[in-house]
Parts: sequence; structure tokens; C-alpha cells
Amino acid sequence: MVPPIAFLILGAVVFLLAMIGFLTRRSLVQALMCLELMTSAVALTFLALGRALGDRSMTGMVFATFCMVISAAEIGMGLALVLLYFRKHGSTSTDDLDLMKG
Amino acid sequence: MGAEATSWFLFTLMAVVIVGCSVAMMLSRNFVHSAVFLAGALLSFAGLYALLDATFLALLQLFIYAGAVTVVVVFVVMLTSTSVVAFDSLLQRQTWLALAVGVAFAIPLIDALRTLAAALPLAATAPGGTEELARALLTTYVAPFEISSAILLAALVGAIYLAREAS
Repeated sequence: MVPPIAFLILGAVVFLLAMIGFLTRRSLVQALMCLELMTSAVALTFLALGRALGDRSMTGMVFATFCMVISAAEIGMGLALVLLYFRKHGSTSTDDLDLMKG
Repeated sequence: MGAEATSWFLFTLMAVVIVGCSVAMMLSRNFVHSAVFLAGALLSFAGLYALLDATFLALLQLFIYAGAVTVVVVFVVMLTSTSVVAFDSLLQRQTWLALAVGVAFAIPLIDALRTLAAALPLAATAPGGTEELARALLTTYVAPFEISSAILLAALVGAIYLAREAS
């Protein structure tokens, strides 16, 4: 079997990559895609750790499930906000997000 | 080829696909291409979950992310396709700042991984299957389970409210 640490390293690498992408992308849609990758990497870490520690109480898997639920809610709300913003301002660039209201 | 070699091969294959798709997704000028690369990465994540014996979560990942989320992302990309985001500003001066934040994040992460590498057992025991997961969700974790359903409902109503055409 592949040792759990390999999964943890992969999760960390993808999380860091997606975080750098999230900070540098100028498009709201691409930033949200990076957020998806970050939550998937976190779920992978939960699963790998749960498996490595051999927990019979399923904590790792349960946490990964909640991680996916929150991430699904987040992408739905996020994309709705992007649509709303686009309808009002005709742009999805983060450079144009410089007003606190409206 | 033994089971050991097969699982290493699958892990390496999916790791390469995930990292490659992530980088391609971020560097792509065309947002539809980005969405396709995102779908590839999320599909490989489902494969990794299956490799970790989390069959139910692998299926969830397949249905929700590779299916529903990708479709919604493509819809939004199409609906906002007239929006022009200048690509020169896609990789710009904040890049160095972002890389610095990444390095600052990576240092404690590497430290933690080192500690874990020494502490974790090499051979992992397989956790329980879907049955145990269902039991845990509906007994020990029943309160967070119900709250998460309320969160999903709130997000659903909120998304419809926000995205509706103002009449």
C-alpha cells in the first residue's frame, strides 16, 4: 500500500498550489475554482489521516464529508454572487471589486 | 504486477494528473478550458479517495464535484463570457507577494509533515466501510449532520435569491 504520508504530502502540495492560484488570479470564477481544489486537498488529508490512525469511530471520513458539504454550499453561493456582480457591473475581474457597497 | 506496485502506479498517475490539471487550470486563458482541467483534477481526487478505501466519498466526489459543480462552473463561465479579464494582469505584481505567503505557509506545513512522517505507521489499517460511516453520521455526529443540511438549504435559497432576475 502507498503510505499515508504520500497522500498527506500530495494534499499539502495541491493546497499550496491552489492557495497561490487563489491569491494571484484576477478572475472571480478562477479564484472559486482554486477554492474547490483547496477543499478537496483538505478532504484528502482528513481521509489519509483517518486511515493512518486506524480510527474505528470514522472521524476522518465524517470530517471529509462535512468538508465536501461546506465546499458545495460555498461554490453555489460564490457563483451566485459572481453572477449578481456581473449583472450589476459587467465584469468578473477582482480588479473591479473596489467598492464596499454595491 | 503485485497489489503494492499497482497502488503505487495508480497513486503516481493520479498525483501527476492532479498537479498538472491544477497548474493548467490556473494558467489557462480560456475559462472553459479551466473548468475542464478542474473537472480532471476533481476526478483524480475521486480516484485517490477510492484508493484510500473511502468508496462512498469517492462516489460523492464524482457526482457532486466532477458532475454538478463542474456544470455550474461552466454555466457561470458562459453567462459571464462577455466579461473581459485582461490576461497580462492575471500574473502580475502580486505574484511575488503570493509566492511569499505560500513559502510562509509551506514552512510550518513541511515541519508538521516531517513530524507526522516519523510518527505515522507505515502500514495503514483500512477503516470501516459505508455502513460504519452511516452509523457514525447518524449517531455520534447527528447534530453536525443536521446542521450541515440546514447550511445546504440556506445556501440553496440564498443562491436562488441572489441569482434571480430582478423584476
